[in-house]
Amino acid sequence: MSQVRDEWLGRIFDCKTEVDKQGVEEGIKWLYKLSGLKEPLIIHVDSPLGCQYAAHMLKSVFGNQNQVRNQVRNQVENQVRNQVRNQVENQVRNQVGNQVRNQVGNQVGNQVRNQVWNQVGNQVRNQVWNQVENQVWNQVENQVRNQVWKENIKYESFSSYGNIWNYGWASFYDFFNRIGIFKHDGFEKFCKLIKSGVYDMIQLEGVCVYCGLPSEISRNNNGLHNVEKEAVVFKDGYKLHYVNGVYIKPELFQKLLDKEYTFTDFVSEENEEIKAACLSFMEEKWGSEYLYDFLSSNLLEVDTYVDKKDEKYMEGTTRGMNIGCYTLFKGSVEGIDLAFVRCYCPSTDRMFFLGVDPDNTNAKDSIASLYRVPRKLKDNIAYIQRQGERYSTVFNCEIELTKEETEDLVSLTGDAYFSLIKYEY
Amino acid sequence: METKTKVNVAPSSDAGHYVEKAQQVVSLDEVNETFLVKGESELTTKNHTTLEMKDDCLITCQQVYNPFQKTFEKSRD
Repeated sequence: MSQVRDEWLGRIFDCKTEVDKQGVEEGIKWLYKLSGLKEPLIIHVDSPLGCQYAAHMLKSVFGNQNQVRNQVRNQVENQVRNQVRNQVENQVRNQVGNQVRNQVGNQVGNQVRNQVWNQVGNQVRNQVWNQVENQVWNQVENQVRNQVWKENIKYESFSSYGNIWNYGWASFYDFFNRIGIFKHDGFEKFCKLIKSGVYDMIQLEGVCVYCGLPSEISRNNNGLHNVEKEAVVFKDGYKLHYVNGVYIKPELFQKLLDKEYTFTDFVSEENEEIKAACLSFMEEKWGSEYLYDFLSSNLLEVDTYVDKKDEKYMEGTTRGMNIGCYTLFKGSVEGIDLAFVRCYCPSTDRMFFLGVDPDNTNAKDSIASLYRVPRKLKDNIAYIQRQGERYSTVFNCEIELTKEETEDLVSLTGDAYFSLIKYEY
Repeated sequence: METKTKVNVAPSSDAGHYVEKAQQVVSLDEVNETFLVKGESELTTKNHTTLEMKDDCLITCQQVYNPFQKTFEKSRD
């Protein structure tokens, strides 16, 4: 299983897969034929942004070709993916399960059947899907979309079938294919296409524009990441900066790199993920002492509170020593009073400095002040859970709120908050 | 009042936080992003572990203090 998973991941993350243009063209022609579409003109470019520009230019020259993405998706799903799924399900769920069941009984048969399915799902499909789709495809697509909108060009949807997004489900069935569970001509042709070095494509009526894989990708455990240069680079020069999976604009990255990022820049940044990424950049690139100087030149440590979590609430966290450590800092910039509470993400250990009211005098009340609840329900809280900046609160009563009552939010004291909080991720 | 069975309860977030498997998700306040979630469900997102929500609950957004405006505002991520 790990061999299949690593092969699929290596195809993109090793950055050595060159586009096999002939293989891609054959694959695209097969996709269009499968979908009942005429053979398209095929254009190769070197980045997903290039795909958008090319599609825009082609439309302006040749007229308004319709998207055929949905037709392709329907046919690949009907004629390839669903058929393969049925074959594999029959083999694994029924035959493997039956063989074991006949020999050792129903319960064990069902267990083995489900274990095979779940293990391949967890160890191949989910890992490939998570790394390829969540860490790369979604991130890059977001930035391409933003760039296209910024330039007032119509954004063309990328394909559903014919890009790296498909690595997840394809790797899952590829494992069963390799161990001889099934054979499917369409699946092999589809895999050949997405193994040909294609990153993504825009499928239009009569025209298909595709691009190859990035020439450079850098990551850490949190996703795309590089504190020296761009984390993703395509061959035509389209490149993007990321720190811990968070997109950083080129101007900001350069400021960080040139040590020109000021404390005022930090305080003015409205996005907490970007603030956390900037702190992380400074710590990794210039060291802990640099980060300490950056913060302590404007802030003084006032108070620390440690909420020692019960072992059962550590499940799903990094179990790191920073979990539950909160420190209140105070200071000023340009005559404006500031207060921040430092906390660490229990899921990733990223450090956050969250703005709190400077009237706060201790870390416990400060972290509690970030939580707000409708005043009407304040005294009926059963327990609170948290995921990032979203709180989930369960009450001992029915939740019935008018619009005004929903908007009337109050905070809790530190004592009250920490007596109610359970899981924090 | 909008009712959905699967919904992004952090529309202002770059990555989003998604309630899945709920019986019902009701948007109560679009500005503050407050949602009522009915039934056992999961909260999923990109950068954090999935949170199991076994009971009906209210989803609210963290509020941070803006020292320049001297007001509390929805935390952005």
